[in-house]
Amino acid sequence: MSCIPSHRPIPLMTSPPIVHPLTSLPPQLLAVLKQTTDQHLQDAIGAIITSQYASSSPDLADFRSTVRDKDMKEDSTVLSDFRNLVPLTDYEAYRPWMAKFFEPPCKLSEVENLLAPGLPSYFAVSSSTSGSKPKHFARYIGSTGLIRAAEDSVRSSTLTGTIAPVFSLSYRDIVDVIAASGEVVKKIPVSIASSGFLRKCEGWNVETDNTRMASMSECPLDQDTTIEGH
Amino acid sequence: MIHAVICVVPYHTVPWATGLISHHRSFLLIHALFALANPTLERIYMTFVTFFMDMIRYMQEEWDVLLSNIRDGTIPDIDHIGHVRDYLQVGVYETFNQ
Repeated sequence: MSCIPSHRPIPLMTSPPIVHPLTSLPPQLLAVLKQTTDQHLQDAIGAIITSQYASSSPDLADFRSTVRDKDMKEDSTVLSDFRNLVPLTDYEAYRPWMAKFFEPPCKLSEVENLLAPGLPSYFAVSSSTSGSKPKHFARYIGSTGLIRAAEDSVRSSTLTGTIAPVFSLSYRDIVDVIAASGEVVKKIPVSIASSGFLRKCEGWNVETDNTRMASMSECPLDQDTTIEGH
Repeated sequence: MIHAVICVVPYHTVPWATGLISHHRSFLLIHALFALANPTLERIYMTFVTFFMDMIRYMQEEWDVLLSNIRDGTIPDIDHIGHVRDYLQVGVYETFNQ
């Protein structure tokens, strides 16, 4: 049995290729990088500006007043305003907001549009490697413009065999979001980031896990997907 | 900023329930079992290289057991998989007999 596809040349014993790492990007790539970064930032600001957090955080007071009458989607001066007026914050600025999700009952009226539009897809738990307390990150997949397909990532057209994906689908807890009627409107899993992301991409809601238990997991995603956050 | 890339077809077939094993060693051993049982395996794909190193180490520790299980079409007698064992056994029938 061989794991090497027959059409793929087997490397001969040669000296390693000489590599000359670039110390900076060529101007064309640099321009593309800047444009893409700016577009993502502008999309994210435009989406998040209406959240409860962005509407009331003291850290964003100067920024809010400056961009109040601007077109958040089209006016590029929003970006320079953001960079000039929004101070660097750390997790402690968000901890009180995150706590609202974890103080039962988690009421829809209190947590809807809290940090971004709608409700989080999942809560990612950090590995607690910095600081003593674990951190929770509310991941709003689909409402912040921060998810996109990456055309140039790890897909390989020469792949002829199969891949063994090793991803957890476990979760540590579930946050029930409750409407005024008392009905649970959403069950949000608390998990490591990759588990929550894979579940979101596949539509594998925690409440329907029993329908998948006996199935085989195949071709979870049909495209390479890159997620950026925090 | 966290940057993770998830993905790629074609995926190797594993029982969906494998993802619900929380215990690190058992999680990796069961994934190793289905990976080893697949004669066309080309890649093992995971988030962190330390997980891969752990998987290889556990694979070495349980090598004879894994081979016996693949030969017999059984699931290893290890802890922390009781909640998914029956579903894994179904996966064995579908995967090992290909």
